[in-house]
Amino acid sequence: MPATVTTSPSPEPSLLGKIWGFLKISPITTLLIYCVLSVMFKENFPFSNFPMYSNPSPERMYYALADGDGKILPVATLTGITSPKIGKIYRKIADEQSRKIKVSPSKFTPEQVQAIGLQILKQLRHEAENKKQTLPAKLQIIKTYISYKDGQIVETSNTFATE
Amino acid sequence: MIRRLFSGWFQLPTVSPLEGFLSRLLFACILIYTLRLGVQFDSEPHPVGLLKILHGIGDFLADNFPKAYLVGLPKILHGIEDFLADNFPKGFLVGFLKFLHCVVEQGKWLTWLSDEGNYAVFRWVFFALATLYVSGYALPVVLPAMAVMHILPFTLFNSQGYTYHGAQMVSLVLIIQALTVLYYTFFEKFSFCLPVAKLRSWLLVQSMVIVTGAYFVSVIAKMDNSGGMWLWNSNNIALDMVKTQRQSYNNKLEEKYAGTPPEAKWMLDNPWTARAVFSSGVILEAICIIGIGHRTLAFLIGISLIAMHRSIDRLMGGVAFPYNEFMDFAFLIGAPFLAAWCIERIPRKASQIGLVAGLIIGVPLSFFAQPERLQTLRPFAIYPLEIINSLGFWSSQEWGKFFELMNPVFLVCCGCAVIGAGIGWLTSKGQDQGEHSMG
Repeated sequence: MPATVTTSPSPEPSLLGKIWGFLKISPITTLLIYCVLSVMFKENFPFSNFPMYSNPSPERMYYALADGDGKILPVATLTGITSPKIGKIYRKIADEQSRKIKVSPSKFTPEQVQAIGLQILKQLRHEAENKKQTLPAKLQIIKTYISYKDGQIVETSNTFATE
Repeated sequence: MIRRLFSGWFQLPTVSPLEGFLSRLLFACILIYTLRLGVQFDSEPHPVGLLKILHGIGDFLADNFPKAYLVGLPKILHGIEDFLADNFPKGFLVGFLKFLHCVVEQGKWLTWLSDEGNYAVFRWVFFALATLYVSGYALPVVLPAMAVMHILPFTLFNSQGYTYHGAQMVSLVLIIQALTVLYYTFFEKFSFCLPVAKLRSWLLVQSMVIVTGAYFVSVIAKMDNSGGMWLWNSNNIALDMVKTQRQSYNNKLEEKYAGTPPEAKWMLDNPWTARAVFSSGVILEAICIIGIGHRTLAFLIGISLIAMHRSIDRLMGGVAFPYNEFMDFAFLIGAPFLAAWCIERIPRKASQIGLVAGLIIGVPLSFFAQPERLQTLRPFAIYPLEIINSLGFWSSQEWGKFFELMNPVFLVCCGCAVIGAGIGWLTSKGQDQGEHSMG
C-alpha cells in the first residue's frame, strides 16, 4: 500500500520575495547594475553616461582656433584635434580646477579662463608638432554663441583666450 | 499582451551552436575593426578610468616609499634593457621594457601604446586571441584577456581631455561576456571546451543588456541634465545641428560644411515638428530595453535604432556612431541568428559545416580574384584585415569603392560555399545510407 505523503501548502511569497525572485533570474539585474555604475562613474572609460545633447538650451556655443588676426584655422588638419574637442578639453580642465579651488566654472575670472585657454593652446601646439605641422606664431581661441531670435539664426563671436 | 512584450526578461532565447559561432565571428570582426587606428599620444594629461586608478597607485607609491627604491628599479631596468638592446633585435622585449620605463620614470602607464612597433605587437596578440575567441575554446581565459586589452587604447585616447563616445559599448560587451563566462565557470561548470547551450544564451542576453542599456543610460543623462525638460526643450537640438555644421567646417574648412543646414532652419521655424522628431528618438532609446531576450522586438528596435543613427548622421552633418550601429546589427537585429536560421534549413549537418567553411576560406582566396591594382594596394598578408576594415564604408558611404573591393569577395565566397556544401553533402551521403541500412 503506498504511503500517503501530506505536504503543507507552500506559503505564497510576499511582493518583496517575488521581486527578489525575479531579479535573481532576470537580465534586468545586470541592466540595473550597469545603469547605476554608468551614472556613478560618468566619463571613466569604459563607462559613460553619454551626455551628448543632454541639455538642449536656446543658446549653444562652440570654439574655433584662429591666428593672431582672427582668421579661422583648420584645427583638425593642423593638430588632429577636432573643433568639438576644444570645448571638451576646456570643460575637463575647468572641472578639475573647479574641484581643486571649490569655485564653479561659471564663476571663473577672465584671468582663470585665459590660463585654461593657454593650456589648451599649448596642447594644440604639442599635437601639431607631433603631426609635423607649423602653426602661426600667435594663436587664439574664438568662442561663438548661436541662438534663434525673430526667425533668424544669430551668431556672436568673441576672443576666449589669446597667446 | 504586456506579458508577451516583456517575455524576453523571463526566458532565455535558444542560441544554436552555429548562431553562437557566427555571433563570435561578427563580434571579433567589429573588435578588430575598432583597433585599426593607433593612438599617437605621448602623454596622459587627464587620466580617466583605469588610468585614474593607476595614476593614483603611482602617486601613492611615490608619496609613501623611499625614493631610493624608485630610483633603484629603473637602474635595474636600464641594465636589462641595455643588455637586451645589445643582444637582441629591436622588438617586443625592448617595447615591454619601454613600458616599464614609462611607468617607473615618467609615471605614464599607457603611452607605450603610441609606439608604432608596440601597437603592432599589441594588435597581433589581440588578433590571435580573437581567433581563439571565434573558435569558442578557452573562453574563460581568452575573453578576460581581450576585455582588458580592448580597454587600454581607448582609455589612453579618452585621457587626453576629450571623450570619444564610440567604443564604450564595444568594450562593455566584451567585459560583460568575460564576466558571464567567468560566472558560468565558477558557479556552473569549469570548461575550456565549446560553450554549451545555456552559456550561449547567457552571452547573447547579457550582450543585449549592454547594447540597449547604453541607450537607456543616455536617456537618464538627458532627463538628469535638463531637469526633466528634455522633451519640451528638444526643439533646440536644431541649434546643435547648426553648431555641429560650424564645427565640421572649422575642422578642415571644407566648403560642403560652409552654410547652414536647411533642415535646421526649418526645424527652428517649426518647433512642434522638431519636438516630435527629436522626442521620438529619445522614446526609442527609453523603450529599447524591452528588446532584451526577445528576438522579434529586438529586431524591430535594432532596425529603428540604426534608422535613428543614420538620420542623426544626415541631420548633424557627419555625427555617426558606426560602432553602435554594428553592435545593433550583431546583437539586436540578430544578423548571426538570421544567417544561422537560413543555413540550418539546408539538410545534413555536414553540408551546413561545409558551407560555412567555404564562406570563410573564400575570404583569403578572393585575394587572387582582385584586380592587380588592389592586390598591390593590399598585400596578401594584411588582406583579411583589409576586408574587415571595409566595415568603414558603412560610415564613409563610398559604395562604389566598397563594391569594387567586395564583389570578388562575394563571388569567391559564394563559389567556395557551394563547393563546401557539395563536399559536405557527398561525404555525408554514405554515412546517411549506412545509418538507414543499419536502421
